[in-house]
Amino acid sequence: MRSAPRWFRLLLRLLPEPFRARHEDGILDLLEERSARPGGLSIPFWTRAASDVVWVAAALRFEALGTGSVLQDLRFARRSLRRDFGTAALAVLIAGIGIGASVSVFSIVHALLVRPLPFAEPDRLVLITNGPPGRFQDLSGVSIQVTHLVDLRTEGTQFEDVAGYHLFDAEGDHLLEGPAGPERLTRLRVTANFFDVLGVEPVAGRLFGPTDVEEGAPPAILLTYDSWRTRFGSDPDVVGRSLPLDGESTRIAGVLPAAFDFTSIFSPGTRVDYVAPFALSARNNRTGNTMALVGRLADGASVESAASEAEALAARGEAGTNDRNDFNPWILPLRDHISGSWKTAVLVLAGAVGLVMLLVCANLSNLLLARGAARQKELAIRTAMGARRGRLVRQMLVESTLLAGLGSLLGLGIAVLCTRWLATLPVGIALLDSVRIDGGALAFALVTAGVTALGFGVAPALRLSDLSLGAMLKESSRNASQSRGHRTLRNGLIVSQMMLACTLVVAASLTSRSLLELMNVELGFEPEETLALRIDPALGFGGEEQRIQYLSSALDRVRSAPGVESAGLADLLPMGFNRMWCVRSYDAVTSESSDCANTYVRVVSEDFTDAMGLTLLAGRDFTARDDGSVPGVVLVSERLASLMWPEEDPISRILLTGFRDFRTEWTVVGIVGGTRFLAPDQAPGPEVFFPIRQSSDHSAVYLYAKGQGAALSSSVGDALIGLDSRLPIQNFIPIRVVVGDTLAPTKLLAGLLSAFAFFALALASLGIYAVIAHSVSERQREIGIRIALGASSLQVQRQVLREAAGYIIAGLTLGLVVATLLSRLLGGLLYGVEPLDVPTYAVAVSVLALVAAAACWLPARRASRLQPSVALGSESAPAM
Amino acid sequence: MTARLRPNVFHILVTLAAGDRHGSAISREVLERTGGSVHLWPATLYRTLDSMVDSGLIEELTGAHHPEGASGRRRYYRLTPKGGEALARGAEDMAALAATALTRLGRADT
Repeated sequence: MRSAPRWFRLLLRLLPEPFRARHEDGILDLLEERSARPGGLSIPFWTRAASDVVWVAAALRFEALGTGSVLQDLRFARRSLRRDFGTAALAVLIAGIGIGASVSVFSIVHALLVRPLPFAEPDRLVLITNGPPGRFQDLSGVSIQVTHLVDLRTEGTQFEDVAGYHLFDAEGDHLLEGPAGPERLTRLRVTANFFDVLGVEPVAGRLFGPTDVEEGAPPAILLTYDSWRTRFGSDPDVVGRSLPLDGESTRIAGVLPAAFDFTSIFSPGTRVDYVAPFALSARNNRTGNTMALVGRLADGASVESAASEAEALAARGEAGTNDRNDFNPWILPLRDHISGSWKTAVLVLAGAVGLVMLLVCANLSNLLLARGAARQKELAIRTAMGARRGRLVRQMLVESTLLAGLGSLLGLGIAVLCTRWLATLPVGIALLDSVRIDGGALAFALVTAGVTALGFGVAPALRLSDLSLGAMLKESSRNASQSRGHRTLRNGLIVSQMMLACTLVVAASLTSRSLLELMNVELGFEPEETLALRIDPALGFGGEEQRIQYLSSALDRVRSAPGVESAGLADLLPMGFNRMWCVRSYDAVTSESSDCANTYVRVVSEDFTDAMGLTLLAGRDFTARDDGSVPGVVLVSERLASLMWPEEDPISRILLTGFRDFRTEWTVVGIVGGTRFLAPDQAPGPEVFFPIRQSSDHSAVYLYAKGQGAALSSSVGDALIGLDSRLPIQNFIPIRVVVGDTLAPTKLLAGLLSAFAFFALALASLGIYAVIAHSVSERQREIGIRIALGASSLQVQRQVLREAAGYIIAGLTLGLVVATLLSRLLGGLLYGVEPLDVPTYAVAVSVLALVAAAACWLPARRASRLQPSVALGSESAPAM
Repeated sequence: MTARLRPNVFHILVTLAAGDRHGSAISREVLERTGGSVHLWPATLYRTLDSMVDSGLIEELTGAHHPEGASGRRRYYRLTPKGGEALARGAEDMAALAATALTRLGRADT
């Protein structure tokens, strides 16, 4: 017989094994008989026969796997988890923290590196700067002059359009005299086509057009969404209204959308209250380098082609003219500019959380295995009663899925809280405030839960279901070979947990060390006891005489205020706005590439060095007599002095300034130590200080007051009442906070990595404890015999510890290898500590070893205290 | 009133009421008896037979009880007393139903 075609026999394999074994012959017999009848071998016949097989196979399999039986599994899982509530709760907590951390980090990665920018066709947008942009670059260096922008717009073929924004609009430059009292606002100036290039639509009113930048056009502004919401209660009728801004009536033309968050994208950590138009006029051209540019690439243009075109245009524009500043075009996709500097940190976080998840899986495997050990008899009996292995594996996978499912619910809750917290952190990381749990994060949580359930469920399920009844029910209940397999798996889990924890602890230690280095760096000034307040008069100074009078009056009032030790003025705050001039001396060889030295410029009053804690190394500080009636004097920093007059005494030397002509002479009267005014991790550059009584070239005036006590700000505030009725006496800025803010991203990274490392350490020690405790309870009889034969408790402890030590050392060694390999990734994020810093590794390993030893010692001590009679009488019920 | 017997089950019971049979024979007899209108396709047939064994309507014969000369490979089935009762009740129900139908149509043999 066997006339059935081969494909049909293959089809029979769809049938569940027991059914097929029983009936395959019968089915083939029957078909053979049928096929002998008329029409027996027709296509309809075989089609019908095949569909019969498929249908029955599906029905039988559905019965076996059917919803009813999964529900039964779920009920069973719930019961068995409830019976062992402590372990289940711990497992859910561990899975929850792990999944919560992963989903949070996923959301960060998504927001910073993946989600499209909130502009039309964001992939075609590029940032154009003068040389490579950087967070701490001097602004004069990276900015571009108006004429270069005009050239790019009119002659560039690789750009659809180019727009610019002004880089020198400092925080609080403008005064709004609203009904709620005077308030300082921050302006952003942009070219009229700025929003067209980005593809932004207003939520109310209009955006800028060419008429807004015409000579004599009525001043118009756009409100940022945030400003509209907080100052005007989201009132749509605000469009067309006039505001008293800097003493001038200014019309509100429109409101920008919430999605256009300029500061979050272009200048994180700052704020913008309104946007004003910036004309590409000859007058604005004369102010020199002022803008950063945003370009939209033309169809088919690439970053490279655009860059080479911009270089050619810049070279042509500079040729044969003396009124153009250098332009070294540097073009970068906008996305790279925005998230580029955080990419490494974000990827390090993602890697760390990946390690955490592996550790979570290893740990939960361990936990289930230990719990399963207590259920071995139950499983063995179920096997003996006819439960197939697949059935038991499924039961255990249902349990792990249930745990992972509950864990992911907890994890989602944790992630929602974490992302909300992250989004409000004022750490100055672009797009961080757009971190949130969205559909993608939910899907990720689901996948993580599924993978976790399999990750920690499969090994114990396969391991535990593979047990023979005889071995399990034996009096001694432990068959050597099974115990060995079991133990290998658990020891492997110890090694891998130690390895993962070691890697994370090393990474966290390195970043924490780096943070400590940054916090302890010698700043060149003392931020602890100093406050600053912006005090420019509302309506400008009027004449030079009034300016001096105003500044003197402010200083006098504050100096005599209670609690003030010293007070001074300066035109800037540290860690923010900065500018550079090229300066020269008569006799100095300055630098190799040019005949003048790019130098940071500060305009300060007498006593500023004292109020800010700068070190006067030689000469004298400014005095109130260094005013317009005497020749100009300056203080220079150590670095500038050594650049200008190496190996000579700089005091009394002449420094030359002036735009391109270097005709203004200043006599050096003192040398101060360098300051890290840009950022704690940026070494001091050359600096020059001009006396504010001699130089009116400053766009802001900050009062610095040094003193102790919480009342300092109110004391200074009281002293300033009456100086200018329109002066907003609020927003005192502790310099300590200004400095601290720049460390915020580093703190965040170190904090998150430390939290991961701490969690990892806790998990690993829990894992080790569980394994050792289990192994001790497994061997109670043996230990009991040893004690009965005279082993001391110390000897027993030592034996238990020795056994665990091997695996712990193996794990640590592997962890060190992995950490050394991965630490290179951290390299760029570290300050003052090498990725392979030996002391850091040593401390990390010691901490891990100590924690691991403690985790082993507890069960070891319990073992050594066993009463032989109890141990020998016990029937090896595992303690876990 | 007991649950109605499904048609396939009824046909199998009717067939086994005449004596022990193996699967192919059952299928063939049903096909012939119904004039080719009821096909018991093999997988369905054996699934039905399994479930009838489970519910005790029929039993599978062990080798010792196979009819003489039967192939040892084949599985033979026999009606159980419970199956007999179920068949009888089913037949009575159908007869009653058939009688009612005929009466209402005015074709009863009274």
